[in-house]
Amino acid sequence: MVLAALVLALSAWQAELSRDSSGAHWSVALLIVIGFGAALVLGRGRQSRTTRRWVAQNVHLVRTWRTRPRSAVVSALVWAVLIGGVVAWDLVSFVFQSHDLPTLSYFIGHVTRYAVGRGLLFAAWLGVGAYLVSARRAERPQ
Amino acid sequence: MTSAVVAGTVVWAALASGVAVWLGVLALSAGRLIGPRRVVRWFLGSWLSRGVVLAAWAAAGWHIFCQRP
Repeated sequence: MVLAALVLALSAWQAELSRDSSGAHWSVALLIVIGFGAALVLGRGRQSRTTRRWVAQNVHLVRTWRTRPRSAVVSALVWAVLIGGVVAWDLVSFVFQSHDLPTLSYFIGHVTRYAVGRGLLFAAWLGVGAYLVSARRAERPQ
Repeated sequence: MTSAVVAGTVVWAALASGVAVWLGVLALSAGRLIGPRRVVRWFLGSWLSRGVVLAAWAAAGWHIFCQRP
C-alpha cells in the first residue's frame, strides 16, 4: 500500500518534469541503481538456475529441436522472429538516424510529450522494473 | 504526422500486426503454444538473461524519460 502510494507520487512528480531537467536525470539514474542493487540483494542465492546451467539447457534444447513437439518449435521461432525483429529494426533505425526510419522511442515520444502520458508510462516502467527485479525467485536454500 | 507514410513506419506497422496476430493465435491455442508468460520466465531464468533484460529496462528508461521529449 505504501509502495503503491510512493509509485503514484513519484509518477505524478515525474509527469511534470522535462527530459532536460536535472530532477528527471537524477531520479531515473537513482532508480536504475536501486533496481540493480535490489536485484543483487533479492537474488543472492535465489536465482533459480546458474547462468552456466541455463546456457547448457538452452544449447541442449536447440540441439534436440527435432525431438521437441512441433508446437513448441514453431512458438519459439515466432517469438524469436518477433522479438529479434523489433530489436533489430529499432537498432537499424537508431543507427541511421533518418527521418524515414523512426525509432520505437519516436512513437513513444508522442505519448511522453504530454504530462499524463509521461506519468503513466513512468509508472509502467517502474512496475516492469520491480517485476524484473523480484519475480521468479527460488526459495532461499535452508 | 508525416511518419505515417515513411518506409520505417510501414515496417513498424508490419511488426505490430505480427505481434497482434500472434497474440490472437496464442489466445486461441488453449495453452498448446509457448505464451508470453513462459517467455518472461525464460528471460528471468538466470543471472545473465535477467541482467540483460534489466539493462534493456534501464536503457529504455533513461532514453525515454531523459532524452526523448
